Amino acid sequence: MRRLGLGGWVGLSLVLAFVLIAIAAPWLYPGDPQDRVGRALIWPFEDPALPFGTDRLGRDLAAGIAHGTRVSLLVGFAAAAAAITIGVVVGSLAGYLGGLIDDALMRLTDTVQTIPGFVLALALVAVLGAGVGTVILAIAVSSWTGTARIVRAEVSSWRERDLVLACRAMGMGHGEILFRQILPNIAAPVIVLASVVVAVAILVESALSFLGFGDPSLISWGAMVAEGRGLLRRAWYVAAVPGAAIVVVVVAISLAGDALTRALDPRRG
Amino acid sequence: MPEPLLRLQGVKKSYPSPAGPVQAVRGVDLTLEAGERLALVGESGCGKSSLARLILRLADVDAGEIWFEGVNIIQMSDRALRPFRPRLQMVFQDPVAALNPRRTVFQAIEDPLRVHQRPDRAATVARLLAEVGLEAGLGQRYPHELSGGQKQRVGLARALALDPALLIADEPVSALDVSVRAQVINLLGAACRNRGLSLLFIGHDLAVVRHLADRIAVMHLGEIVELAPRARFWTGAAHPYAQALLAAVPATTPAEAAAKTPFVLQGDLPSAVAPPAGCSFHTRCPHAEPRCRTIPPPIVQLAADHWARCHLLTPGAGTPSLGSGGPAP
Amino acid sequence: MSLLQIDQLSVRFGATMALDSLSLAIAAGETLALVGESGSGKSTAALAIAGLLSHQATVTGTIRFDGQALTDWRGVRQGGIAMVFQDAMSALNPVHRIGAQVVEALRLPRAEQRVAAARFLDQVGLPQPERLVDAYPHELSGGMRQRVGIAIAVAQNPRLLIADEPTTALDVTIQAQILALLRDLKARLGLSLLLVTHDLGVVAETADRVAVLYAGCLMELAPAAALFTSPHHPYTQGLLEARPPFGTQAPMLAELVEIPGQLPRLDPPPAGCRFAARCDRADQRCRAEQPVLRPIADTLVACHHA
Repeated sequence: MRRLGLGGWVGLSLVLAFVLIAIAAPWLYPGDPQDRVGRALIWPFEDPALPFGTDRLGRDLAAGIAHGTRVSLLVGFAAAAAAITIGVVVGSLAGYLGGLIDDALMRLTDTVQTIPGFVLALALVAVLGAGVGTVILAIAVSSWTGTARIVRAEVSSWRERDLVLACRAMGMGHGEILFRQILPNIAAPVIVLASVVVAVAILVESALSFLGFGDPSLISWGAMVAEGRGLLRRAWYVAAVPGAAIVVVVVAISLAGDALTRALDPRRG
Repeated sequence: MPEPLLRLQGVKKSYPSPAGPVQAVRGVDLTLEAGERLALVGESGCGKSSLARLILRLADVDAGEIWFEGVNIIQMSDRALRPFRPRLQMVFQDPVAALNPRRTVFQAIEDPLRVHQRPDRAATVARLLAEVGLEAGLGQRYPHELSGGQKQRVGLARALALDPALLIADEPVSALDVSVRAQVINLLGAACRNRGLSLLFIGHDLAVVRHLADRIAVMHLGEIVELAPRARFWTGAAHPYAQALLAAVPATTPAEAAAKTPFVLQGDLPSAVAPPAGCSFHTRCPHAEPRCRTIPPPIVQLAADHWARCHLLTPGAGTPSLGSGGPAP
Repeated sequence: MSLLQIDQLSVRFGATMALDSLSLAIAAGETLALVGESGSGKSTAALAIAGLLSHQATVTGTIRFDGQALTDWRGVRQGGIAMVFQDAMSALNPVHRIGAQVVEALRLPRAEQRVAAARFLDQVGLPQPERLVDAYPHELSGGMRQRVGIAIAVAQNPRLLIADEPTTALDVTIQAQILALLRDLKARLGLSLLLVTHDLGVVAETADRVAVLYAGCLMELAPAAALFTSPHHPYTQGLLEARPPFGTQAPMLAELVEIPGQLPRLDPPPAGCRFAARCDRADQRCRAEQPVLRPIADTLVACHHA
């Protein structure tokens, strides 16, 4: 943990801060964040009670950011967890078993990968209807392929090592070889990838909400940016505040992912 | 006659490759008695490591039988094979590749004991660490914190953990520094002596082979071309390929180098995808005759325990002479 | 006068002292073997001479080649020195034809390249050189690739050939071929040869003089015959004794003489003699005071007890 470095500390602290905000949002800003709290278009820092100002309908932007954090992080982490799980399972089976199963799983991966992820997510949401669950599912289905590819490549290279022969010679089962011996060694690239997938999932969720495909009953950063789009000339902060939140959380997550990879490697530090 | 510890009969194996099937093992017959130390020597690509993998059932044979402790193990399922696994263990050439960088020394040695649910594992690991000359404190270290020699000791301890009857050692010292090689060779020798272990030693360093093995099998392109007991091999290797291997061993002193008859085998090992017809060695053999290029050579019994596959040898002739071109016997 | 003269050459990589005050000379037409284990500094010395050290290296000392001081530790030498590497496969470019790689450094007109390349391939004993010019590295066997590596070096018309573990990756029969080729080239072209190796058998077959390195320090420098018959340094003695006996009727499974312990860490190196921790003759002085090289007969030895 000594090796986190400055970027790592900054990233982890910011991620932690966003998680705390997400948890504390109902207490910090009780009631519906969509409620009007004052006059329309109060600029940030004009009113100390409304640090980020208000939008066109007089809604508190700070309350929107806090509640939007819940949606962004929930979608980001849940979609990434699902995508990484699918990717690790597909990649490990393909890499470890090889042969026909490998061919079949990799053709499936190719097929999914040829469809642009965002378009696939958009199509799924359009068909299944808006809702947090649908958004998570759509993002997960469109972003597991990178993980599957990397895990397959790593597992198949570890599979060729004498380590696996030694384990098989001692009678170790395939499950244990895969889960206890091989997978811990490829945790590093998977963590890096997971942080990227979380970041991308947050972006995709924002983009879907921006286009109006988000969950209409929940406030989200993407929807807030969309809200501010028409006001860019008069009140640019309405789009910039949620936009900045997206950028900061995405950068923080990738810094944290990088630092965790380094800290978890026994060969360092 | 009692069944030997290990008996191979007509073992064949080929692997697919873009150029066609690579015939790695082309019909090997071999026996190993309990407590015996047999060396398998030959150049890279001759099939010696493939053969080791077949014996450990890490790959399946295409044809032939492998009998271990009186049981033909080639038809057995993984489950049925499990009770036999502890009896057959292996030490690998590159200890870096054979150890898990994320598992400590203790975990690495404990793994086989855990898989076979042996009791008193901590005590057994401690005993094994002592046996291979590692301090108990090293148990909590990771492989990257150890030197090459220490890593190979861990590999040996792991292989000995289940108390095997047969240890297969595939070039166990060739990746090590010269000053620690002797340490590992001594450990291997001590393990054989003290545990009554049988050893199948795979190597290309004939000086190490000479030190460890009672019998030597020379492999060329997937076939055993000569099998001889120690005493006969070093003074009377009969097959031209065996003689070439002996001649290629570097001299131990400059004086010896100056006195040596220069004999350098020309050319490379032929392709295992399309092995030469007749004798597989004829493309490089200084004594090759027309029949060597077409007719596979017979097994010529030179003594009760010594044979070679060569047209130019006569049965029972003892130490053969193949005329000029070969090294002085 | 010596062709190559190294004075007080030290190389550091950060806190690691890879090579400590190496001084030695190579005469024209001589084969000097630099012997040591991993971490001995033998490859570092070879790379320094060839001008191939990485940017992390801090170098002090001087190297004179043919009377001229070499000052650039990272620039490719413009003539006179060529290098053969251990792993011929990674030293060759897999997507370029053999012929082009052999004559790459010569900057010949296109029309002359094929003929010149074939001539160099022929010089290193490769069969059908005209055909091999068009081959790619992966089509060749390990031994042939190493011959190509030697052809690339010979094409630069060197006076000193540095061979870094040239046979370590090869089988014994191929090793014998490559050693024979190096001996032959040396005689034919009047080269000096700096042979970097860990294998005392290779040394016995080829070297005129031997420099034994341990943990970055020169321990013993001696004519090959003297080194093998009467080694003075305890480390050299240990190395020679630890070999399984081959020429004699040795008893099987007898205990080999071991050098106990492991190589020391060099970041920073231990005080005193680097070998002291593994030496049975080491005393207080060995652990405190680093021995300097001193002559015994025609040998230089760095040991307080030799």
